[in-house]
Amino acid sequence: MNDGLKKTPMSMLDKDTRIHSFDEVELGYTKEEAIKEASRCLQCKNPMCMKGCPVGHKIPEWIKAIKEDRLDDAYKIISEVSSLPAICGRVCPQEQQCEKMCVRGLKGEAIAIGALERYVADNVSRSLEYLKKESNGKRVAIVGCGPSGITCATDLAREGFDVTIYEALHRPGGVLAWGIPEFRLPNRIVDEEINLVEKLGIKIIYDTIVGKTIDLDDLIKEYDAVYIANGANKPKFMDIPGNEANGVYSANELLIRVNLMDGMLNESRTPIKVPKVAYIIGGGNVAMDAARTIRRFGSETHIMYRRSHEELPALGDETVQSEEEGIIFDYLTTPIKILKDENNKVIGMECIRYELGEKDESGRASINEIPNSNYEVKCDQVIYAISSSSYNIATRDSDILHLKNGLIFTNEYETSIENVYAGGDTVTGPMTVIKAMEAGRKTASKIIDKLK
Amino acid sequence: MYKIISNNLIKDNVYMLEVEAPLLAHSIKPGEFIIIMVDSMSERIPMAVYDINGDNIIIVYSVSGASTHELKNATSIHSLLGPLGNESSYTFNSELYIDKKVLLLVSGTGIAQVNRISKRLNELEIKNDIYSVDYSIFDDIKMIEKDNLRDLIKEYDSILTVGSFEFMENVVNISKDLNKEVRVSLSPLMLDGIGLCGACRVLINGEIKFACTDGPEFDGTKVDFDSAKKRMELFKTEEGRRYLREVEGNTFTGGRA
Repeated sequence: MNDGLKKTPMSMLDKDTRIHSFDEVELGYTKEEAIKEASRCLQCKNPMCMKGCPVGHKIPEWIKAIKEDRLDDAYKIISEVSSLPAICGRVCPQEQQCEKMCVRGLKGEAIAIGALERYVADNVSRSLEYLKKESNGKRVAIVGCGPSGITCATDLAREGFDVTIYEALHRPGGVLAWGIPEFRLPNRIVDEEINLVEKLGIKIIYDTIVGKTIDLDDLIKEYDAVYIANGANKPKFMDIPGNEANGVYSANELLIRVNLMDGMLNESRTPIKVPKVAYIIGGGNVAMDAARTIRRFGSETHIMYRRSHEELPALGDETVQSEEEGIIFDYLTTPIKILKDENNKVIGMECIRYELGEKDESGRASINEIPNSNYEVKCDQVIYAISSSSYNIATRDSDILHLKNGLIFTNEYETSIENVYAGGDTVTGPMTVIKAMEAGRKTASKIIDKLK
Repeated sequence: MYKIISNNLIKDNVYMLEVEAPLLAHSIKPGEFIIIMVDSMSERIPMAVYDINGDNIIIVYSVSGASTHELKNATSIHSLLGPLGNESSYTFNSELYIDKKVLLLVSGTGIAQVNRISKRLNELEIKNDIYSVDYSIFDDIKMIEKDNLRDLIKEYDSILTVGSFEFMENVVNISKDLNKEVRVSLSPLMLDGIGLCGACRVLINGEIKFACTDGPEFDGTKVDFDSAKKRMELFKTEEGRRYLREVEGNTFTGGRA
C-alpha cells in the first residue's frame, strides 16, 4: 500500500524539446511507476470510480492486476469493456469522470486511472480475436469511422455481427485522426488500435460519403441496422468584419493540415503557413490543440478567451501544458474586427475588454463589455476555435427527423426510422471523445438486444 | 487505391486522366466535383469530372503546380473522394430552363466542369452552347475572343461561367449589365472538401458560404470577387517552393544564398 497523497508523476518531454517537436508529450509510466501508482488504490468494496466511467470499466480489478504485475490479466479485464484503451487512456477526461469520483481525491489526489490504463495498453501484446463470438448472420452499417462508430462496431463485431463502416476521409479515426494532435495522441496509436479491432472482421470502406457516394436509404434496405455517427464538425466563424482576410482560419483547418495531412512532415505536400504571431480565439480543448500545434512551428502564440482562467472549458492538464509551452493567455477580451492590409492579409485585430458579471443558471459567469475599452493587437494569423455545428450530409435528404439546429432527433439513440440509430456529436453537438464512445456502446447494446 | 486506365497529354500542358472508380462514376451528378490524392502524402486536389465512361471517371487538368505535376506522373491514385458539392442548378432545376437558351462560358480547363452539364441539358432538350475564351483544349469547342463577350452574352437567357476569378468577374459584370441571369462555379482553395475546415469560404451576399458544401455553383451577382481573388494568393509562396523542388530539385533557398 502506497499512502502517498499525490499521483505518481508521469515523465514528460521537457518543454524546450516539446515546442520543437510533434512527439508525444506524456511519455507513459515505467513498470515501477505503474506499480507504485497502482498501490495507491484502496480497492474500495463500492468503487466510486466505476460510477464515474461512462463505459463501466472494472477499474479496481485491473488496477489490482497491475499492482501484482499481471499485465495480461489487466488487459483482459479492460478488454471486457473497452477495445480502445490506448486511445481512452490518453484522451478521456478522467479528471471529470472516474478520477473525479475516486475517494482518494477527497484527501489528496485521485489515482491516475487514465495513466494506468494507458500503461497496460502500451505494454502488453494485444489481441481481441479470442473475444469474437460466432457469426449471427446480422449485418450492420455504420456511418463514420470516428470514436463513436468504432466503439459501436467493435461491440457488435465481438457479438458476431457483420459490421461495415463507411468513412468519408482516406484514413480511419475521425476526429482522433484529423483533430487531436500527434503530441497528445499519435496517429500511430490510433492506427494500431483500429487495426486490432479490424481483426474482429470489421470492414472499413474509405472515400465514401453516405448521402452522396451511396444513399442512406440503400444502407437501410441492405443492412439489418444502421448507426449514424458522422459528427458535427462544421466550424463556426465569429460574426465580425474581416473573416475573409488571408490569415484567418478555423482551428479545424490548421489541425487537418497538420494531423490528417501530416503537414509537420517534410514529405507531406500539404502547405502550412507559419505565422509570426497567431491568436487563437476560444478556450476549449480545440483552442489548446490549435495553439500548441502552431507554437510548435515557432510562432508567438496567444489564446484569447472571453472569460477568465477559472472558466476555461479546456481540461486542466491541457491548459497547464499550454502554459508550460509558452502560450500567452489573453483573458477577458474578444476581437470585434480583424484588421487587414491592402493585400487582404491579416495585420491585427481590434478588441474589447470584458469583466465578469453574475453567474447564470448554468453556473457560468456572464460577461459585460467594458465601455471604451477598445484596443488593437498586431498579428498575422487569427484561428477560430469557437465550436462547430452539423451538416448532416448523410441524413438531410432522408426522412429522418432533425432538430431545428440540424442535429438528428433521437430517443435513446433511436432515430425516427426503425433500425436506424444515431449517436455522438451528430446528436448532441460537439462533446468529448468518450461521450461519443459511450453513445456507440449504448447503441450497440440496443442493436444486440433488438436483433439477437 | 484506384487504378489509372490512362493519363495522356491532349494539348500543350493539358492532360486527360481516366480512373476506375465505380461507386463514384455511378453517383456523381453534373456540377459535382471530387478530391484526388495521388499518394498518402499528397495534397488534396479538387477536380471537376469531365466525363463518365462506364465505371471510370475522366478528368481534364493542366499541369500548373507541384500537385498537378505529381498527378501527371502518377501510377495509381491513393484517394478519390466524392461526389462533393451540389448538382448544377441547370440540371437540378431544369424545369426553369425549358424555354431558355443557356450559355456555358469557360476559360481553360473550366470546360471540364461544364461538359457533363451540357450533355445533360442536351438530353433534356434544353438549348445550350459551350464557348471557350481565347483558347480551347478541344478542337470541337467554339471559341470566342475576350473582346466579343458582350455580343455573345446578349444572345442568351442565362450564363454559367467557369474559369479564373478574374475571368468570371468580367463575365458577371457584363451579364449584370445586360440584365442576364449569371451563375458561377467556384473552385477556391480547398482542403477536406466535406465542410470540416472552411478553407474554401467565400462571401456570398456578405454571408460566409463554403464552396465545398454550399456550392460550387452560386449566383454570380452575389459573389465578393475581390476577397475571393485575394484568398487565392494564400499559399502561393509555399506551393511555388514545392513546385520548384519537384521540377528543378531542391534548389530553392528562399532568397538566402
